[in-house]
Amino acid sequence: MDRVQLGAGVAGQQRSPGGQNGAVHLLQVPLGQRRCGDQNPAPIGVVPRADGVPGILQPLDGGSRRRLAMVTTAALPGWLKPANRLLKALSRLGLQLGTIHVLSVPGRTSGRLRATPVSPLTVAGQRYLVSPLPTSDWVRNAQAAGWGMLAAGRRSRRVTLEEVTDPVLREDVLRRFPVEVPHGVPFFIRVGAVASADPDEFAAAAPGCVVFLVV
Amino acid sequence: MRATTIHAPYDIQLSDVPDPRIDGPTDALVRVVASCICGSDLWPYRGENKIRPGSRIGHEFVGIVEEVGAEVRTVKPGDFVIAPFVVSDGTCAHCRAGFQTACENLVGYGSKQADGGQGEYVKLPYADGTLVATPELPDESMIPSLLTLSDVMGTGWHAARSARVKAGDTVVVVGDGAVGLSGVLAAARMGAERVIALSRHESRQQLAVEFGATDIVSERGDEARDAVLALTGGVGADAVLECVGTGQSMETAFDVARAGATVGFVGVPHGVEVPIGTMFRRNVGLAGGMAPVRAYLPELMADVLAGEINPGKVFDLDLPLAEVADGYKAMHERRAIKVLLRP
Repeated sequence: MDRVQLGAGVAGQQRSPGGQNGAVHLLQVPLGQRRCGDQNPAPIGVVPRADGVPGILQPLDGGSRRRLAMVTTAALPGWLKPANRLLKALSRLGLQLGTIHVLSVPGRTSGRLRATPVSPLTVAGQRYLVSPLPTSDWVRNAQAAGWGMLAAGRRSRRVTLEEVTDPVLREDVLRRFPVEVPHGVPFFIRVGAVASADPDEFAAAAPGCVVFLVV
Repeated sequence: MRATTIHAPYDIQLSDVPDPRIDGPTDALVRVVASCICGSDLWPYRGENKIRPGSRIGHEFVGIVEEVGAEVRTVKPGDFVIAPFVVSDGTCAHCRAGFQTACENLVGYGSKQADGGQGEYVKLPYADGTLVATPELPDESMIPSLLTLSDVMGTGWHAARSARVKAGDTVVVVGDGAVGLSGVLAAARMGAERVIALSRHESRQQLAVEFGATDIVSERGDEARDAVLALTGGVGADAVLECVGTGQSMETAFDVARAGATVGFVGVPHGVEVPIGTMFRRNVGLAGGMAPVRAYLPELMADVLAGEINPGKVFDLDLPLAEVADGYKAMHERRAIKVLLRP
């Protein structure tokens, strides 16, 4: 079981942006920030988390204010990162992959847009994005920024992302998720949020999930 | 001093040239603090324009005034100045009307009368009509943004002005080079509600969003037209900024313009035919041309110094002047959006 402390040391790692020529440097990328497109330097399976958020992972030091992660390789499956990369590439090529969109949100520290595949769902005429991992990077970035670029194929649109706090509405959205986005169910199972595609089980998992209203 | 010279296609060198000196009453001698490579510098670089071997190149720079001629009034030694991409006298009818790029005494950099901008020093005539001084020495961090006012930001602004962008408009920007990105920033600053950027390159899309684009379309030609029409309920955009200059980009610009719209064009035209039939049938206008950046400089400078706009983000490669040849190569190969050079 890996224990990784997350903070500036991990999130701030970067490769030299200069390419082969050591004298070349990018004006707009201060040291300590990563560029868009750089892969997360943390090993696969590391999930940063804030204290006290209920969910599938237990905080390493429940009482402390420091943001720590306790990680199991079961938390994020090994195929997730390459699969995400593939989905983003296919989407960029203009392929429409079912409900899959690419959401780009500005990084909390870098401000650079970072892309992640998502599946928006529509409930009662409103669009939502859900995540079973409240401490995943894109969720925390979206909470911090409140907006993102939502792309379908080769077209993307700036959207406002409002976190849904109403527990009843969150349950309603989660209940619809396995019906609207069946291909998203295995991911919820894999990370331990639910055991099956049962809508009631999804509704029950709502307190540990994050739901954004897409405007 | 050292200055950039071009000798043949793909042959850019930093050469020793005679030190310039003041010899006319309207002259100024400027020590260059930062200069940059323009998309238009790539035409001679690629051999698409005729090259006079050994000629100077570069027309965008900022610097410190070292010395001025007897008649110069608006700038003085020690001032930090921004130089528009051409020299204008500031007094002729066209200058007074705000079209300094049509000045009766227009002087280009890298000519007998004015040094090229990609060097250590530039001597130019008509200092009062050309240079704009900042109120005080700017912070180092402001220099890239101030440098864009010598060309790209003023040019993007001109595209938006020419297209008559107003608050609440839906604007399409064709082209994701430094000028197109500046056009996105200009349209957003003018209050456009929706700015649709046509961009195929991820790093440029990123910057377009930072500059205020609300939609990105990474298709071209008919597909781009269909995408914009889909986004605008089949109507088209209120204003279109054409920032490329090819036949294809101009065609797309007219295709996405709604009836009554104006296409503001600043891309230097290469093989463009104007669709006069479409313009007649749909009342779509065409306005713009070589941007009188001098006219916009005071306003844009105030915006930059107040932190309202940060157009300097278009620079994604910062090189010492000694590596100017690498800078040209990077821009030619589209590895860099725009290259900043420091002597």
